[in-house]
Amino acid sequence: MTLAIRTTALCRYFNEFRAVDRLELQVERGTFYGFLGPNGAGKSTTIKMLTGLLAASSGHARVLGLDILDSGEALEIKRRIGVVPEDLALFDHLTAREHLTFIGRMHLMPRDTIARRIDELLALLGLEQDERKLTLEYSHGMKKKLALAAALLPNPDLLFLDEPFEGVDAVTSRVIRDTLAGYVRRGSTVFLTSHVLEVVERLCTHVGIIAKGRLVVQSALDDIRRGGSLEQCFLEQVGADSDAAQTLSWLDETSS
Amino acid sequence: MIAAQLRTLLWLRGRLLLNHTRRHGKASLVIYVVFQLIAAGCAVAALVTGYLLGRGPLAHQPPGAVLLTIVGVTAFYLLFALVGLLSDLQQSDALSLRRLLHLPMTARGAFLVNYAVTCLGLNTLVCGGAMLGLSLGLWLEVGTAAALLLPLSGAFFVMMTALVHQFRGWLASMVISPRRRQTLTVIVSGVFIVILMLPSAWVSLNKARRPEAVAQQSNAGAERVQREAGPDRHRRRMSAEDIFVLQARVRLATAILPPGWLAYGAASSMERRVVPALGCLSGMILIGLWSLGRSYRTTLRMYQGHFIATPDARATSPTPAPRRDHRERSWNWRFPVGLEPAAGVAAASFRILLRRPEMKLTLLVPLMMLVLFGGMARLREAAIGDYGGALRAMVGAAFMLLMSVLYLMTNQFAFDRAGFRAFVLAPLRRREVLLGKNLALFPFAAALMLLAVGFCHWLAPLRLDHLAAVCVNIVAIYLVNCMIGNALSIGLPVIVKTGTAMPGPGQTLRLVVRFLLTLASWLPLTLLLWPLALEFLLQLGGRTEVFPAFLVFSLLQTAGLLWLYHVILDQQGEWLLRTEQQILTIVATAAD
Repeated sequence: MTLAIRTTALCRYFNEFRAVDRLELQVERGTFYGFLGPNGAGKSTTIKMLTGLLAASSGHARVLGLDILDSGEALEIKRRIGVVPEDLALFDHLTAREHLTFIGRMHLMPRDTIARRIDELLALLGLEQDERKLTLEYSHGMKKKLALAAALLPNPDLLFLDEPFEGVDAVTSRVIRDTLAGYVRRGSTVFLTSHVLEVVERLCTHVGIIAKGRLVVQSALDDIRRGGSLEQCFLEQVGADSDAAQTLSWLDETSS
Repeated sequence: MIAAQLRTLLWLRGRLLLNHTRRHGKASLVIYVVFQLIAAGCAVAALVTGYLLGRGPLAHQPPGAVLLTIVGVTAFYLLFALVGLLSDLQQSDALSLRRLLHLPMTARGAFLVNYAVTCLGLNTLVCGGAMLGLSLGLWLEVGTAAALLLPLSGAFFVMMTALVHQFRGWLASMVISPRRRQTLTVIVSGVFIVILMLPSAWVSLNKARRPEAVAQQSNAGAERVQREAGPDRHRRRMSAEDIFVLQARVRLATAILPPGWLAYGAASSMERRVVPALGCLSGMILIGLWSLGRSYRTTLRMYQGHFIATPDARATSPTPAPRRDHRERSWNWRFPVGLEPAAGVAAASFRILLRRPEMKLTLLVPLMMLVLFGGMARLREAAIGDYGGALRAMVGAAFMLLMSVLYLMTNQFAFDRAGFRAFVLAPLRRREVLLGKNLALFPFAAALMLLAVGFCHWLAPLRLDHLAAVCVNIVAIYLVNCMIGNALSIGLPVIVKTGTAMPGPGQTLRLVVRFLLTLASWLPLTLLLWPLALEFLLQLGGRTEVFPAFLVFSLLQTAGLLWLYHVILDQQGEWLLRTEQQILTIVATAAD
């Protein structure tokens, strides 16, 4: 089994608070890995650590067989991954084409390859009409599409996507899903976080569930389904059953 | 770092600058190009002027003149370095490492690019040009005595660019949290204002203390010369003394403070005192290298992801048990006579204002001005009489309002866009929104105006009835400004850049009109002086013993203004209801 991501006792503290607590993650190459968890569970912190945006407090992490905590190897990892970070990392005062050109040039891609890929990506994600606008004039969904295009441009071996479907319209969502599915079919790996369980259920081959910084489930999606639905498993693992029973005291009253 | 990536980052910076300028319109682009040409011209002119000064007049002056010239260049450099830092803080799109961390770039490359950007500042080019020209000119004219000027200049710019770069790196690591960024903007702006005020304060203090200083420094011989030469000779002697004292103080300051070591080292070199000059040179080199090392470590730490917005952590950390404190109580303000909706708006707006960095700056600036210029006024105080004192207190209070919260009062909805959306959605009479907003600002305005009045009272104690009347007039001044502020907020809202107090692009005409209207607002304010004028006239007629006219008529005037405010508020509320979507489009949609 070749692993795209492997973490060993990976921790991240913010003062006294443990955002990620002894994470033992194993993501096989060529899988579509869905990383689930409630708000504040540590999903984005994990992605930041795995992509070199945030230093780990302790533990180890290997991405594509290289140590992300080693600055020399981290550079090689960054050459081989694509990232849609939580804050999208776009420059407000660049157009879509300029931003993608910048990303391509930072990856030292040939100019004609950059231009060709940009044309394809803009057409695929429906950004052609708006390519001359500055990104600060984009809607949130358009920004997300541009960030995804930037992640796909260097044709990486591993994609990290933090909530890629949030704020994206249904048509584009379908296009992204198909693109990512094709991307995984050719042997690359996708690691995505999402709140939308239906999307994860439809796309992912493997699932990890994190709650309060700790990995509580890590398994193939088919194995989870054998024991019930993904939603059921998720609610059980994050301890949401007791919360679900709570109601608002005034809902039963007649509206005034 | 591969050269191609360095080129790409430089291209990125140019592109960002160009797009940013282009977005503000063609006129802005033209202004930018003209500014760049002027900047290039300034750099060349500085080089030539420096050279000519070195070859000509400065070469034949005593080393003290060289010292003062270089101090001037250093002051210019520091001033513009601070302006650059302020500009960096205001821009959301600065070449931040945060947006590059996930890209394949080495930490050394990131550091080099950022340092190159610091070195390419306009102030470095202009001052560097001036110092290069001056050093070459003096070297060619004076000879070996000025040979150390060139390495001193080089060491100075290495030290200063390294320090500025280190400070920029520190700021970048601090401003990852947007709220902290805003607070830092306020602090740096405050420091900037203080620095701008210092020379003026220093000159005024010196003027105020001059007789005392002359008395201490003069001697019998000088007095005899002064008597013989008459008043003109006296002025010239004073002026020479001033220059002597100034040079001595500046020399001491340059010897102590590292930014002054270039000037001190150059003057020492011209005096053929090699040891102090070499000491300055090596000191600047050491500081520069230490600073570069520190900033490289900061870059490395940032690159390795050691900096992250801590509020994220706080947001995700377990919430402590709720605690009833004064902050919670402020949400539960209760107002009498059925003012409940306005009280809700006022409480919410007050809390928002307390947390806004713009408000902190708004409060800080007039306070700093009061301390600096007030102290000077105290030193130069002359008798102005009862009525002059009362007039000064009234004008002082109005001026304090103008210098502080009036900017917020006349653009109330733009500073709190999200809040305004909530008010538009709320089932409230719009007069309640305006009333609530006006009430929220009143504590700040009243405190500042009272401070101004208290200060005037400290300068020259006011009569008790006058003091009471001025305090009553604080409410009157505020009411007049509320009516004007509400009208401008509804009729001429201005887009404000998120997280700053800076107006957004393309609003020149709107800003000019608002400025003229704000100036015109002093006309109704002058009308508030009639009770004081009336009492003054009565006093001239010898009838002041009858009753305190200023106080009584001020009370009546304020009551009348309260009624007028009540009536106009209804009209302004209706106006706001009719135009709120338009305002929302301007202040929210356009800015977002």
